[in-house]
Amino acid sequence: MEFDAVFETLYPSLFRYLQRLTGDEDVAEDIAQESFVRLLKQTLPEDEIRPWLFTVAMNLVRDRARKNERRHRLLISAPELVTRIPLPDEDMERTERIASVRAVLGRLPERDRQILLMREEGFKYDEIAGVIGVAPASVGTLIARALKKFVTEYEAREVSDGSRG
Amino acid sequence: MVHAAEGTLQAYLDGEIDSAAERALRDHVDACASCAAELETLQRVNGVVRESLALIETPVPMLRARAAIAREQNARHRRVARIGAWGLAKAAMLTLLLAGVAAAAIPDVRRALETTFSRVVAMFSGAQERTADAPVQPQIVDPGADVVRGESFVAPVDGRVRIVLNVPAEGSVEVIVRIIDGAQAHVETATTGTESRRVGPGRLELSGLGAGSVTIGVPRGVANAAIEVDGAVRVFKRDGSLHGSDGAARGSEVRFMIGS
Ligand SMILES: [Zn+2]
Repeated sequence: MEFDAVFETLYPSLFRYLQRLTGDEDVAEDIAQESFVRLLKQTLPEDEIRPWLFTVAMNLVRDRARKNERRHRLLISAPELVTRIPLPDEDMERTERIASVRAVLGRLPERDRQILLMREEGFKYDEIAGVIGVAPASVGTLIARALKKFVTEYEAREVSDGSRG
Repeated sequence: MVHAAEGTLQAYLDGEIDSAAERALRDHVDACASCAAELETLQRVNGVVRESLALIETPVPMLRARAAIAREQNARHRRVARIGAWGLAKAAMLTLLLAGVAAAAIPDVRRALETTFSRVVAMFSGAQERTADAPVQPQIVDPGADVVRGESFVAPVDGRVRIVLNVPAEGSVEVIVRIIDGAQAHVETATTGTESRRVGPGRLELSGLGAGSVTIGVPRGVANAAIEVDGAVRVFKRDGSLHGSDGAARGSEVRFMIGS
């Protein structure tokens, strides 16, 4: 596949992944872009391109977090701040749900977040295994546990919101 | 009886187990209330997570990345061209050496040098002018005039339309957004730039705008429309009305300026 075709196919997926993972669209855009610039210098078999990109991107996320500890803490503790568009009244409930999703996702262990978000982008188990460095046979279990963690936190939050309001 | 592992049930839901294992699993789940309950739990949490992640999906900004990639590709072409040109320069030096040996054949040597020189020049200038793999195709409607006019239609997908504008490098553009009749969004441009556009399902992205105006017609029947400027929503349509980025309803026409 030509580089441009790879870019058009995989960039949206990588951006979505990073945006959900970091809760920050600017960071996601920077890192997705940098990952593709690095891909330009690679010669890879077609089926290795996607795991390669996501691995490089994850390393860039970690580099950035290390270089900018404070900013990272801010991101993790307040991912709700990212919601950009003020919405009309009838969408308030939706806005709150978005904030909940971001908060719960932000509190999941990094590997759980990665697993759920890669699966959401259509990764097969062996690709996920390659990126996070586990045996493909364990991916089903890791997904199931991450899903349950997410839902438990999310629903606990909804209950506490409901009792307040 | 050996119960199905949580990971196996999840792999089954994700279509990650082979058909023999799938048949065996289905037989077991049909006969085992405990595994059936676990499968149901997993189906539920999968649904909750899918829905939740869909909520936090944002538009994908492609333009800046496309431009960065194109710049990088051009820089690489130039590097390759320079290496090629150096090879030719060495060939020219060799020709000079040969010229020293065969001094009698001066006109030939000169011709050879001239040819090599022009090839070196062509190599360099070719590399510099190259806009290889330009990410967007310019659609200049009237290249002779100062003001270039363009017109596009965008069919909504799932009741949604997005128009993405990128702030012009120079000059200012008046953006007029109106609710119109008809099924498709209508975008008319009249600017001095070399406008380029990119069309995707339910979306249109415009860049390279110069000074002038962009008129965007949003179909009355579209449930959800957004006009984005440099990645942020400036105007959106809900419930038959246009809204500004502060969420306030603005009726059926909104005008604003972008650029300097
Ligand atoms: Zn069982």
